[in-house]
Amino acid sequence: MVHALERARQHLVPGGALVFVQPRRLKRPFIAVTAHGQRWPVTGLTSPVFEPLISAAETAIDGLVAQRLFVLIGKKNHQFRVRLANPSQLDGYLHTGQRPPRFPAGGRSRLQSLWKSRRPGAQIEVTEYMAVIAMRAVNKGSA
Amino acid sequence: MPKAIELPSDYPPAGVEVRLIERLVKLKGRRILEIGCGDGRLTRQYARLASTVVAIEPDHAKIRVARRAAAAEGVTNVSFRVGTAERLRLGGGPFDIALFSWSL
Repeated sequence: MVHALERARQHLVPGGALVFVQPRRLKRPFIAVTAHGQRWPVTGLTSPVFEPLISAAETAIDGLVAQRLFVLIGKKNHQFRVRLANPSQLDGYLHTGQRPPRFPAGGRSRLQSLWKSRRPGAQIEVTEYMAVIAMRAVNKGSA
Repeated sequence: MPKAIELPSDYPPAGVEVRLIERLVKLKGRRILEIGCGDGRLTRQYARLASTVVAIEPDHAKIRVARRAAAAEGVTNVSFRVGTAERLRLGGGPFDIALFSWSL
C-alpha cells in the first residue's frame, strides 16, 4: 500500500489530491432482522482477512501526513443499508466480495433464532459503513 | 433450471460515493487517475464530470467488462488499462486527483 501511494503521488500535479473510498476501520457490517418498522439487532460481522488490510491502509495514509507529504482535506463517513429476503440471500450477498466476512461466535445462531420467530414480511438488513478520505499534496518548499 | 436471484450490490447506491467525494474535492474538469477501478462501476459514475480519466485494474477480465460497459454508456474520456499502482507506467498524466476506490 505504501508503494502504491508513493507511485500515485509521483503522478500528481503539485497540490493534487489523493482520494480514498474504503470501508471504515472501526465499523463492521451489522446484521439485523426488520419487519414493519421494527428492528431486531443480530450481530456485527468480522473479516479476519480484510480488517488488517484496512488498518494497514489507514496507517499508510497517516504516514503520508506524518511525513508532511500530504495534508488532510477531510473525511466523510457514510452508512448504507441493504435489505435481503432471507438467510440464504444473506449468504449469497456476503460472498459477493473476494473476502467474505464471518459471523462471530453465536451470531449465526442468534440470526436463525430471530428468523424462526420472525413476523410476516420480515427482511434481513445489512448496514455497511464506508469512508471517503481526501488529502492534498504538499508543494515542495511550502511544507 | 431455477431462475437466479439477483442479489443487491455490496457497494453503496449509485451516486453516493461521487457526492461524498465532491464534498471534499471537485471532480469537474479534473484529470483523474483511478487505481483499482474493477469493472468501472464507480468510474462511469464520475467520468462525465472529469476532463479525462485513466483507470487501472490488475484483472484483465474486469477491464474488458469496464471497457464494454463504458462504450455502451457512451463514455469516451476514460482509458481503462491493465496494471497496478506499484508498477505504474502512465501516459496521460500528471493528474489532478488519484482515486483509490475500494482498492486496499
